Amino acid sequence: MDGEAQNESVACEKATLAPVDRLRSNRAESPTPGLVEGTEPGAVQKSAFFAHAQSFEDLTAEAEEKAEQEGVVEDSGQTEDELQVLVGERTITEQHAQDVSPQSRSKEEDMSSEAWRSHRKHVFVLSEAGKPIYTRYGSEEALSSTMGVMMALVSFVESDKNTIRSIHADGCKVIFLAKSPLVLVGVSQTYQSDKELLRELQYIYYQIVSLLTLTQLNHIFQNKQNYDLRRLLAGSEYLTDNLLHRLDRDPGLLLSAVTCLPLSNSVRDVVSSSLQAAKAKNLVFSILLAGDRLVTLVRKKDQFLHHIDLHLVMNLVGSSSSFREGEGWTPICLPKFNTAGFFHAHISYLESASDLCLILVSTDREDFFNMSDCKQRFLERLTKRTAYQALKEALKCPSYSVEQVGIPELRHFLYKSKSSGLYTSPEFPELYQSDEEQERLMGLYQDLHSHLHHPVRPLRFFYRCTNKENLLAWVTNGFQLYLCFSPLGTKAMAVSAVNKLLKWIRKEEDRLFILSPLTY
Amino acid sequence: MSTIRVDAKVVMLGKESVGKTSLVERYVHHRFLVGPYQNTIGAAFVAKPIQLGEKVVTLGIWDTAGSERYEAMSRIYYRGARAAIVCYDLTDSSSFQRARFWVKELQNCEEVIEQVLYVLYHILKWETLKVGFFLSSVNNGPRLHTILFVALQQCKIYLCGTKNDLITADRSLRQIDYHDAQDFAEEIGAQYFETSSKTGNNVDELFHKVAEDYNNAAFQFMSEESGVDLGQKKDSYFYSCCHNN
Amino acid sequence: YRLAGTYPGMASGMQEKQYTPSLLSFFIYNPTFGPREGEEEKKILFYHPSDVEKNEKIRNVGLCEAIVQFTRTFCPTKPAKSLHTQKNRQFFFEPENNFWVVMVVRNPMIEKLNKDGKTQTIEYQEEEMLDTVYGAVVRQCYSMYKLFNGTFARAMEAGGVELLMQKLEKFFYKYLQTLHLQSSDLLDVFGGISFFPLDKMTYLKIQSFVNRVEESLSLIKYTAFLYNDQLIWSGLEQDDMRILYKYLTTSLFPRHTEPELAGRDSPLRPEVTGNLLHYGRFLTGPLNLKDPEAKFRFPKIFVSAEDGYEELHLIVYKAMSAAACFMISASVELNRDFCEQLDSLVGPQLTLLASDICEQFTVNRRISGPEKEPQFKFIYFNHMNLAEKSTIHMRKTASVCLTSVHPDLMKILGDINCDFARVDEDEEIIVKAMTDYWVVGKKSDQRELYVILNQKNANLIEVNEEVKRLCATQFNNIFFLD
Repeated sequence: MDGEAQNESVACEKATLAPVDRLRSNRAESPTPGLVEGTEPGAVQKSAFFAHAQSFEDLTAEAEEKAEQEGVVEDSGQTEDELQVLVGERTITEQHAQDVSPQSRSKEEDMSSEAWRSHRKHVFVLSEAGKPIYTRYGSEEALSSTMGVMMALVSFVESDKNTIRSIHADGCKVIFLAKSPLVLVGVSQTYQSDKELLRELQYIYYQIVSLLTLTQLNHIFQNKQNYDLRRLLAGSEYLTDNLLHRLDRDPGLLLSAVTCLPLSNSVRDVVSSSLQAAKAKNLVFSILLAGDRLVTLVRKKDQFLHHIDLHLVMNLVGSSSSFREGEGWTPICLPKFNTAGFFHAHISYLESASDLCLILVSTDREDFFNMSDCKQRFLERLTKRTAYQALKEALKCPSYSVEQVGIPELRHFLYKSKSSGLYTSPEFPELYQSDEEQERLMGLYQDLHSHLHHPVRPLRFFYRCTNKENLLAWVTNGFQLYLCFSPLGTKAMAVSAVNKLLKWIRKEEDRLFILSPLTY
Repeated sequence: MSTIRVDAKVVMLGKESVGKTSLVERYVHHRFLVGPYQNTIGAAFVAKPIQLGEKVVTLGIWDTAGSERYEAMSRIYYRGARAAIVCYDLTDSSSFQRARFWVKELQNCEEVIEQVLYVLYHILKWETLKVGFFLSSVNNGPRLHTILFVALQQCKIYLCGTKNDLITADRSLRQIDYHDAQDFAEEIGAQYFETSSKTGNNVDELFHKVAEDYNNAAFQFMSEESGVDLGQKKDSYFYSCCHNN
Repeated sequence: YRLAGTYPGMASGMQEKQYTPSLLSFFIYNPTFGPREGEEEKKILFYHPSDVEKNEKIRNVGLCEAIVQFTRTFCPTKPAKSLHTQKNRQFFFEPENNFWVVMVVRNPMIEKLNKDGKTQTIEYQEEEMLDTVYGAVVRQCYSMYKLFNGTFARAMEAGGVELLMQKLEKFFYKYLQTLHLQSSDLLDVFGGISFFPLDKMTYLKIQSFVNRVEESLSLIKYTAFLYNDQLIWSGLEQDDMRILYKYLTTSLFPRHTEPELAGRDSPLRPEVTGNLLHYGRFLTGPLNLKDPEAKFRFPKIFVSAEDGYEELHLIVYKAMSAAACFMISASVELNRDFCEQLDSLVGPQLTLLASDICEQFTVNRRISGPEKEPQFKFIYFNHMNLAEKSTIHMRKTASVCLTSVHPDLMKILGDINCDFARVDEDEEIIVKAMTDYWVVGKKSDQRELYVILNQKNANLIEVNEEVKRLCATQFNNIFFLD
């Protein structure tokens, strides 16, 4: 398939009308090579702004391992007792659930009820002492004994110098993630793989770390094992709720990528350079978002923003209307950058009714007025060069429909350029407008993703025909591609659609991607 | 430079969900947003100019998050504040406890300031004017500058009971007696207001008072020689010092 | 560490030892048997390995109970099936109310020599085992027990916990030694039956043979007929035949293949038959009818009947490659007369049939042309009649099930099978592995077909054409998808 696509595409390249600018001149002719990272459509010109797998991710991984080692092995005698207790646990939990007064939290739900059980994905966070910290559904109080059981299971298996991973029943699985000093448990009725679910729990863990820093978290539990962390996290539950919602719905979190506001190359360049010019001593990242889409990102030289950190920032901004009025100033830990300390983010909308949100990340907590000043400088420059109007114009169509691609059988797709960490995808088509259908389609993509990225049996290519749709997934060194077709399409058609689509993306790449990211 | 010049820094303090953001929202944007409660993340800053006679005073309002998570952060905000509006929910007695906590915090902060002033006045034997001169000369000095600057401006406390409209609708909802609150305010030398962001009741009055007090104090500081009256506290400084030694 | 199933790795000269999955423990418990504290040991009905310390046993059973209870919080109707840990996987199965069968399998692992040259690091390969495969193995264990002993409840009724424990000990002590976890794969999930392809004439001959025998020996309740380890005729219920077939092909037949393969003059060939008219002999019961000491005891099996189950004698009689199983109610006592009668009736006919079938088989093979190594290999399974066909698996023996493809490819088949199992709809999945092999899975109308293609440069369209051809020639176009 690869070879074939390549031949065909070379012939067609001449027909491209897009102006050949200085950047494009040295790009590969073929739209489908993608076999070499950095030449696929949407690949970055200079260095990407996202951390690559090789950059500091390894450093934090090391730190995490260390943290993991520190908090292991508990006295086995004790856990055995716990376990004896929890064999008869069920009756206790049920009683407990009834004891809870009805006037507590609004997300109160009887945990012995069918409604509570039937949620597709539960997430629980608890401390190593088994104290509840977060539950997606129901109240932590009512679930305290269930969480106690979870912790007992974790430490029981640990006492054998082993680690619990998951429990499987038909159509339901429980995933455990011990991230000292926290334990996260997911209960899912979806078909997601263990690896995917684990990745989601990891996100929740990072969400909590981003609010408190790991250092503070460790410090708290070192001093008081029994600490009720909900005190410190009060009011942040909705951030976690929203993040979980995003994990179900946002392809970016699935692909470890973000998507951009479609914008002409020249306008984006002006926006980027204006942002680049508005620098300050302690400024590390300047991020301009249009809703959940990236307009541009400028970073300090040699400093990279990990996509997880960016997703956490986007979740913070997207979850709260409190930044709409005035300028927000908040400490935020970017856990993939450094779990130990806080950055300080100046968050503000360019105009209160606008979707354009500027996030300026500084290392200095006293930097509010400097950041505020940077924002003013950026705005002035932007307005002077009339790019602002063009940017606001682009906001009116922040997405595109799949029809614009011109492949009739194609319903929807996701394309991620590996080197830039950016992806592009059209709006959900008519057929997938309802929440259930959108989540179902995302489920299909998640499924394709987990097949291609199986921990020990990864695949190059995956094609699946069902009664409702035909799906195709293809991964190369340069890109990942997921397509959804009508169930009536043939395989020959799917193959030709892939070629057409890659050509289209190549043609549109300077609008859909950020080809030349800047640094201060 | 286009950054708005702020005359007085005002900090909003109080337990989460007592309505600090709503209060600012009502005052600055003249509106009350209905919808699910959203807590403030970190802090939000708004600058609001007020016309006082012929003069315009710009208040820089820091709306802080009530969550305990940001408690340490909030200290940054009230440092250097001319006014602290300590809010509590009239229908929630626990929020009044929290208000007491914040008042105590503010007073603790003042203790630090007092210590610095003690050094300036009693050890260095500086005079008020000299202190003022010193302050204006170390324009962008280090931390000491900030502390000294704060020291001379003293943070005035405004105690504010919110959600008054709920009480008006149903008196039985009130959990903090008006007189108790009034007594507490007097005890700490604060002004007391009961407001409703929903109806707008007393909101403008509150901020107007804040601006006015600032204006008067600034005027005092500029015109009167003695400035802040510190004589009264001399003995107490001396007293505590002796006992510490 | 056990040395069984290990082989030295070859990775870049590094000292590496790879260990395949192995059985850590296997136990059966009933939580209602020791509900009070201090009585936990009473819950345990069987525990392998038996030399594990008592408290350790109690601990491990306790964990299983806890896992099962905990899972009920979230899905009260669907019990926990497996527990994954870093080092092992535990598989749970509740075949009868409150009776739990648990198998603990150690993950495959690699032992690496550290740089210091002295110490070793162990790396567990946590994603290598497929739950569906090992879950099926546990179910098979129980089915096999039930085939020879009836249900747990039956033993309880007959002699209480004591009898049940005796039976479990006796059966599993031997049976567990025959488990070969490293070669379990998708075929265990299907638990299918390979049918022998026959023309109508020969099939009718066999059918009339069965009728005649059942008529002459009216004691016979059920008959099954196999050729070359493949089934031709069965009078049993499908599920009973499935486990009996498993027993015959993986245990009984392999134990008796040597004499036949050895040829007439080999010393291995027992001089038992004596009868020059036929090659028939008993695989169960008397080894030599002429032996005055011969015992006429046949293994007893339990099969489902209208009122629960019935207990039967299992007589397996074989002539050349043809085998007939006759099942007779256990209440009847079988003696020398009966066996001689059966031998003289069945022996000559079965010998004749065997050579007929053999002839027909060779003719068919000649028609289909000389066997060329095909570009593809496949597995087929039909859920309705349990028919299974594999060109991936070489001859099955008692000890190993050899496959001709890389284990990773087999696991990809297993992954696709899991996808198919989720929804009851027709589906097709085509994947290309990192090794560039193509794997195609099709599910249509209760049938599943998996094809592995060794055409690394083929594209999706070519692969599709290839599979279409295969379906047309091998499966009469029963798969309709695109």
